[in-house]
Amino acid sequence: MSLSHKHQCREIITKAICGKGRKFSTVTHTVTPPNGPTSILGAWIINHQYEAVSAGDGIEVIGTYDINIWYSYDKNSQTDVAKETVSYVEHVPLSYLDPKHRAATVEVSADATQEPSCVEATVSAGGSSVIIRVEREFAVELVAETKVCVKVCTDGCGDYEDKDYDFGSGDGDYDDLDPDLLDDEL
Amino acid sequence: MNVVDEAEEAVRRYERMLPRERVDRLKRSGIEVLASQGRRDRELGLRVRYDVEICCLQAIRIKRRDTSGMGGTQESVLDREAASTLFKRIERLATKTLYTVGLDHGAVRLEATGKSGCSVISIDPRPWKGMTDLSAMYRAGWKQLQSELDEERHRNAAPIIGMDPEFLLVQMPESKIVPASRFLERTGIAGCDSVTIGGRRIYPVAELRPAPSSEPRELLAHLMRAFAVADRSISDHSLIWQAGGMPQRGLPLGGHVHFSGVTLNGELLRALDNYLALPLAVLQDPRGSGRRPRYGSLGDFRLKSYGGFEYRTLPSFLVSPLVAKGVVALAGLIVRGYHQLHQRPLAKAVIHTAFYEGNREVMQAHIPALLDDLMQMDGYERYERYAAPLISQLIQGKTWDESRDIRKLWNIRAGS
Repeated sequence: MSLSHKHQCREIITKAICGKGRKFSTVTHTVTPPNGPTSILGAWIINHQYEAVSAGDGIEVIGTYDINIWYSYDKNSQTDVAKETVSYVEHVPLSYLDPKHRAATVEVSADATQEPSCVEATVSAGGSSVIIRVEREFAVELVAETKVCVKVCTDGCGDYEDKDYDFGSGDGDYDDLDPDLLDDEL
Repeated sequence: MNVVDEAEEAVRRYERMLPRERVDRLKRSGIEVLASQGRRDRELGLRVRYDVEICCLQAIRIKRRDTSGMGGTQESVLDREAASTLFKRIERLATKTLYTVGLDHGAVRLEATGKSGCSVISIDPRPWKGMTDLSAMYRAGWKQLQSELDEERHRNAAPIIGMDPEFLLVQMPESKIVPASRFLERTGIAGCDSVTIGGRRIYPVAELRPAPSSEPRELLAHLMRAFAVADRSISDHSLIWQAGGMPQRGLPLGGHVHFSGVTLNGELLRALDNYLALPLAVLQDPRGSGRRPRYGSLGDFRLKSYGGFEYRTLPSFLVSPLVAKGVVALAGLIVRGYHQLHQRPLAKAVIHTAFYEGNREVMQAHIPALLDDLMQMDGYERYERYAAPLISQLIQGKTWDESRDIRKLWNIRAGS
């Protein structure tokens, strides 16, 4: 990149979002109620709590939620609600990570973009337990200090109209890039 | 024909299709279908259900019926913004389902199941019948699409084409894939792209993102510039570069083509499928056909934030300059004049099957008639220089070899 003499670059150190990731997942839990279920009348997830921790090349979301299953038993003559608390660790890889971030200043956070929700609840083949399939999704962010290169206006922040920023792409280097000169071979 | 007439005509075609054929088309495209027998046979239980209304290839409403079993709270309408990934996932599956059976508008009922995430339960090809709020929503969608298409025809500006085709870096003679991330950044004109394996995200695929253009020659010059940048960054010259459908097992490659300045609609996608993806499937190295149907299914598109869309059906056409030039030329030709292209061989079950199974002989029989249409189009001369060599190879029934090093063909000298 070429810059006219009027413009300079400066490196500044700032706190910024240096990493981002997102992960959707489906997990299966098995809940065994005290009575062998005849049919499932309702299944839902409540009391979701979680926190994020930095872990290697990604961020781990560590959390818990309660599964509630309303089911019938004794040939549909009785009903009950089975409750189970599930804990999980979800590794969310970072799809972007600023290599210049200062590791000692890292703070991570997670956001459940889709609260865990039960999409399927079935009685197991043996008839003694309930198979629960849960979908959940997290977006994570890594905030840290990093170096950012900024263009500095040496003559103040006045009128930009006459500035001649030149983001030269170096077209001259590619004069020989002519697609017509390539061989026509399959 | 206007949008409404096309929608009604598509419904009539759908109704003439046998139920078995509809299910087969969906299954070939990688969509799971739960017919009534299948629903009876599975385990008792509760499953989330989605009723999706699609108008002009987009969801206008997604209703979710959940598993809570708590009366009034069972049904909710998904918010596009709030549940972005869920909404997109359900919208994509419903749109693909309808498109696969020849519809751009309609309603799809989906249900969460263990194997693939969601299965199709039923399709309503004409949910707009009657005078309801829903029919008003469909009419509004059609009206908007019609005015966009009319305005576009009146404007007659050349659409802008972009691309992000992929290639692999391979260590020979052991055919070991070397991650592109070792040499290329995540972003940029020559970058790398990710796949997630076992919960870990890796960046094995190199991707070229040349600047778009409405001129084929300029777009190809941009592509060569991206190649030059990649060449300067990939310092290990002992690695060979491979492209095509799936030059290395398990790593399918795409040649996505981006369009802006043209309105996305089902007829344009069908023209791209029949006049570009089908011929290219004949030309494709048979080794690459394992890419489908998970990747490269017909009519695969994504709307992009820049206002255009990305057509994702093609394999990586970087396999040779002849193929890349041909793709750019045919894409330009089709997108400018698709209303002149009326053949739809992929509507026939036998051709649809041949496409997904990679049966070249069956597909080949339909290629000459498609090529004739393309060569008769207004403005063909403008694209002939790059289209003709590809057309010539198609007539000869040749296939490319995706095991070779593409550098030589692109005049990339190791270490230049």
